[in-house]
Amino acid sequence: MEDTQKEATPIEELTFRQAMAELDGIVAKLESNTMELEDSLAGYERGVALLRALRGRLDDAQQKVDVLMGELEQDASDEEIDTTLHKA
Amino acid sequence: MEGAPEEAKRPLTVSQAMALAKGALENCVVTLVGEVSEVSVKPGYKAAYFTVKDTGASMPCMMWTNRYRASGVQLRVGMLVQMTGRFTLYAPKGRMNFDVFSLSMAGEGDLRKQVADLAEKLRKQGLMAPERKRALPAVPHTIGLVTSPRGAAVHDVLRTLRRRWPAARVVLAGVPVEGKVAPGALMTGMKAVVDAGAEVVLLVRGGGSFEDLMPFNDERLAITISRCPVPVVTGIGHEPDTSIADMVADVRASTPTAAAEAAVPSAADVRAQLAAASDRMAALVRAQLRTHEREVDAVVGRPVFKDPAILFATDAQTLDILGDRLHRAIPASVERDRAVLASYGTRLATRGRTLTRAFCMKTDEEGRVLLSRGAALVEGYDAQWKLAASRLNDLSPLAVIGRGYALARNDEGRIVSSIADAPVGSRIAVRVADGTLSADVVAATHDEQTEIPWKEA
Repeated sequence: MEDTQKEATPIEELTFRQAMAELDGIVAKLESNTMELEDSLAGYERGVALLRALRGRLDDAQQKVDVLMGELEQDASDEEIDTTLHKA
Repeated sequence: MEGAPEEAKRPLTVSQAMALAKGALENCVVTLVGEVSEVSVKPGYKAAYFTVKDTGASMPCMMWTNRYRASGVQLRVGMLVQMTGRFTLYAPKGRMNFDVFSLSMAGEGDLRKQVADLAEKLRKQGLMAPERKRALPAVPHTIGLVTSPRGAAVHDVLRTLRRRWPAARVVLAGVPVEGKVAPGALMTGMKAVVDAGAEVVLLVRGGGSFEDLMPFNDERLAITISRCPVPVVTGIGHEPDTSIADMVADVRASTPTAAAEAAVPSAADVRAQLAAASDRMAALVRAQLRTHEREVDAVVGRPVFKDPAILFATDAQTLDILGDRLHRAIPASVERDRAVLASYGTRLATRGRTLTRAFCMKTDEEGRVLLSRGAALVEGYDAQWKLAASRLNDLSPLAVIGRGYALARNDEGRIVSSIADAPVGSRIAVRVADGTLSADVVAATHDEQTEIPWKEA
């Protein structure tokens, strides 16, 4: 019952780590080979949704830097490297 | 004995003279302090060449590259160094060199001793115990970075984090990492990033001399690291000596880049992990489906589904056996019952005959009584009967007719008892003693009426 409730959490509300942990849990449960076929298929469906969301987050990820103290000097060469990489 | 002085007078070759001098010089190992005035350290060289001087003298020095690297000192002009070695001669050029065995910055010995003492003290307090080391979060969402906002280190870290795990948010505390203010600033920076939600703190700085890295040997900083609520990863310089910050940190990386790599997973690895999970999951579900399929097939293949009669086979046999027993059992019991019945029949017949005889005798007796009584009764009744018969004859209409009366019936067969029953013109049948007359009513005379028969109209 607890699992069902947990699985009801919308994926977009999960952190990357939580989604990852849930995915691992699903794989482990499937591996235990103790699930009813219906539960397995439901788990698989959820797992696929988690996978899609996780991959999507990796694809969309952009580094975010918050400077709390001091003044960060921009690294021109780094920007150049990035630009070159994007063009390549 | 004459030959010896003669030989001593004989001049030496240059090589022999230099070998003599070299042998004399190399016996002498000294430790000295001097200021570096020239440095020549190049990648291809087997040794580092430099000159030390004081106000009155200068001395060319060489130090084999492996020893130089091991010393951890980066020679710079004007640096005051303490070194131990021996004088030697480079014969081909006739140059005297000081062959340096070990090298350190002058006065550094004291510093190193202080640092070593502090390390020992903290070790005794258990701050470096392996069981204190915390595991880093597998996938940190927020990474605290405490370092100088200037220089290569901060960008090395940011670039590495961006390359490996761009999903992580970086909170940066750019603080001075050298000088007296550095330890305090590093501590403030650590608190700032932890307060901002960092799940792991990267404490890094680029390479520097032993003296440059002294802020990372600060006791207060060491205690701050050990008490930090989230794991701390250090990546401090290229200094082969480990700083105290490194010793108390949860993970010690050799460089800022290595620290960044330790703190986050590689997106490529995670993608591979996701792909593996995807494959594993699909394979497991497929396997389960196959298992169920086989189970269903196995059930379908069972004889019962091929020949449902098998379901009843046992029962049918049982039924047959029971029927058989029943068939055998019923006649047997019937026979038994028949025998019992027969015996009852015999007993009944015997008893019956006895009873019958008794009754017969009684009946015979009563019959006789009845006969004699009957005869007596019949005589009376006979006389009575004869009387009644004659009276009956008298009363018979036929007897009346015999006496000359006639009985008239109209054509409806009804007795004519009134002139109304036989209207004039109708035919009547008149019964007389010996036959029937057919007569037509020609007239009717009404008797004088004595009373009026009220009839309903």
